Amino acid sequence: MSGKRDKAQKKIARCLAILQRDLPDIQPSETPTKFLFIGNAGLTTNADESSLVELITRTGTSLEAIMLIPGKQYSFACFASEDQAKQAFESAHGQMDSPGASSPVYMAYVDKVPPKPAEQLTPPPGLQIVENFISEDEENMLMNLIDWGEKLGDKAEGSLLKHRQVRHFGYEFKYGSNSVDKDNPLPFGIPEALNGIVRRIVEQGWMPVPPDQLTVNKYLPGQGIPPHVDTHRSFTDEILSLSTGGGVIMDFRLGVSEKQQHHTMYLPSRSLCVMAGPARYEWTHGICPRMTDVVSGKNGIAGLHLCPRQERISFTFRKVREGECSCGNRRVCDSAIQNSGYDPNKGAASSDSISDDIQAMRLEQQHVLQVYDQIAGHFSATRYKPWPNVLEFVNSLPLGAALLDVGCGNGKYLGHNEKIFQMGCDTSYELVKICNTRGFEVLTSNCLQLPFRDATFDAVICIAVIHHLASEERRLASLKEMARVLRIGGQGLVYVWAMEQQRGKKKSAYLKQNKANRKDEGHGEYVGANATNDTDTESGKSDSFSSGLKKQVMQESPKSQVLQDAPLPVHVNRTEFVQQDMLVPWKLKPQIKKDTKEKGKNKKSDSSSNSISDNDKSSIVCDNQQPKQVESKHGNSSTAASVLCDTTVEGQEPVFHRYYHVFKQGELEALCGKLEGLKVVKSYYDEGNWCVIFEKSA
Amino acid sequence: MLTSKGIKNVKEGFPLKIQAEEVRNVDIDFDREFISRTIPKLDWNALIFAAQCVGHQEDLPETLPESYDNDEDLLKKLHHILLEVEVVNGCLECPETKRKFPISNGIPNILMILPTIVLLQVLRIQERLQELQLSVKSQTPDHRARKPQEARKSPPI
Repeated sequence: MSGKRDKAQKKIARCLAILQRDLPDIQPSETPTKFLFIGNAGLTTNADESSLVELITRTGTSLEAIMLIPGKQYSFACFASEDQAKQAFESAHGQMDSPGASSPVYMAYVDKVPPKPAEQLTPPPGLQIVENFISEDEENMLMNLIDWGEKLGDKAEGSLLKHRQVRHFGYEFKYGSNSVDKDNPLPFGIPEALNGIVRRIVEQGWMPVPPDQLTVNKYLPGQGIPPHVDTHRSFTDEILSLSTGGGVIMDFRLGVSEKQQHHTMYLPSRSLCVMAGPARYEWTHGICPRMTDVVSGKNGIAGLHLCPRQERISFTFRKVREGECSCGNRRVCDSAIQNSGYDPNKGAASSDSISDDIQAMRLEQQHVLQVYDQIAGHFSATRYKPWPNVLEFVNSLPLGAALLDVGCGNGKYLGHNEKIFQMGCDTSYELVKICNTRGFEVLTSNCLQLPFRDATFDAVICIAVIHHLASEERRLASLKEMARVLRIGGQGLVYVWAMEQQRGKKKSAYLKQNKANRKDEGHGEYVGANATNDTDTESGKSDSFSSGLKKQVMQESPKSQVLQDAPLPVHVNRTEFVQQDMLVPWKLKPQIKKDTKEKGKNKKSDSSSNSISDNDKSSIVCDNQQPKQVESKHGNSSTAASVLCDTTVEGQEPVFHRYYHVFKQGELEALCGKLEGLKVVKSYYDEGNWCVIFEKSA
Repeated sequence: MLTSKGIKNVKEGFPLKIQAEEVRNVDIDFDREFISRTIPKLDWNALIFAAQCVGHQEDLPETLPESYDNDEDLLKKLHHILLEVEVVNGCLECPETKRKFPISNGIPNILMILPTIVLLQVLRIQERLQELQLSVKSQTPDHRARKPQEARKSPPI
């Protein structure tokens, strides 16, 4: 017995020497502490978290945390009290940590343990667990819902199925190509028995529209699923996984080897696991195939618990995505990889990133720049009410300050503060002309190449502009340009259209405009005399939207717009956004043409009188455009306008499509965060927009 | 304050030379404080240069005097040149590339993005290149099979 003790002492001394070398900060202690150093049991000795926990807790000790250090052959354990640690030490020191281990573990008290890396503590952004999402009755119903075709013999020992079993509903997910066959839905959609749950998902706001694809996975103890990212192209943002049967630990990882971030999340039974944003698009998720999980704080009891696996059936709800994913992240996005011809295995060709940029420019040219020139007059007429929070920013600038309005449009935010020097710029000459007639100092330029010197301005505003840029690189580049022209300490205010048009129960003004439409859906008539289209998020101007037009847009407008290999869906005005990248219709109202005669009276006049000549200039026809003639009663100016619009219907106004990338919560902030020298001062939500005030700090 | 730095390969792009074809004067209320605060932000030489281009240089001194704040006369002259003289038609010339940016109706056009036609041409050229690359690739397997080394290998038993 004593011989064993001596041996153990020698070994622990050796282990401690290694610790001293690696983490000199941590000192061994002669007297018991709350922390135990466990030598000879770590990730490199193939120690299993569960077996270590089992070893320590088998005498009934309460264990608060256990840490296995990457690349090391030791680990640490934290206890609620010294007594607990003492108990563990006495029972486990010198013992084998698992039946098949070659040598025992050696423990020592230490004064502290290494801090847990910050990333591991916070879950990946976009990940949420909703506990008790379904009742026990519903759980029972779900578990008995599917006939897995099992025979009695399947459950007998020795004949356990090697892999988990899977069933699909709605659309089949093909594991070979890792995609969904969007054109061939399965004969069965999501079973009716789940209608209540599907409704709950939408009502509680976990998905903007109901899911149309369901995958059911049955896991027996010891089965898992390899780490993966659900393909971007096949499904939209939110992926919801409902757990029935036993709970399980799910591993989330981002990055590779040493820099990899790892977060474990316990999914209790009857909980809904919501994966969106980075948790869905960038982090991989997986379930380790093993027999037990180590869970912290279960059933309200603190400390680590060993949870043996039980049979678990998961129901994963997803919405099949229309078109391609446009996140452009070539590391994980199958759309991006396919479109750029970029194979991550072969290494990047620089020409691909250039052609991506050109594709983005082309999309913007066709569906932003040219459109605004066409609709300038009408657009300006609907943009007359400045938002109070933006005005507050502008009016707060001190005497003599210089302000730049990037993407000033019709100059809505110019001319309010008399104490400052202000300039505006916009890509649309038509809109800039309107500013000029109002007496403002403006020029035409692109927000990606602002023709100003570094540190010229004290403040910059950019309202509803960068959501028109067709790639993340370009959106980031525009922020960079804004930062460049700002002097140190100068502030910028950016507004972008939010994907989330509803905050809690409160709908934005944009959505509210649709109230009339909801009641009249299916009538196919224009409701109200002045049916116009969206006014971004301004309220009041239009009172309704015709469901008749909605049908036409869906049928006639080609779904595949500029990018042949990445079709963009067309958004239905005044409804929630289903995806981040889409084309939003603008129905051009011809009433502006009346004002041509009233020159000088009305600011709208300028745009229409020059629109003809500008249209002649811009009769460069893009490959995908098929110029159609509009049989419009409103004269030749709308014929010219029709050259570049997307939908033409006899007797009705031309429809233009503007490209938008609507932002999700936190996305704008994250973008600012990518720039050194920019500090986010304030971040808020304003009537359907995500807004950020940043300051140039370096 | 304008620069053509956005053009590729331009280092400074400042100052832009103003070629004024048509200039006009407007009347703006003189705000002494405002002008006084604006002066420190100006590059004096560039201002003189710009004033020269539009024919109003004779009024301004070569260098900015230290006590400009008390010089009512100077402030008024600056007010005039900064806010009241406007170029209606003309152009701005980049000092390095000599590229001209037109000014019409008082609005300079400093759009530096490629017009659609050029963009499309670039894309078409790229697509054509890819096609050529692919067709070249598809021709090589024949040549590879005839490599002398491979012919010498003994066939598998």
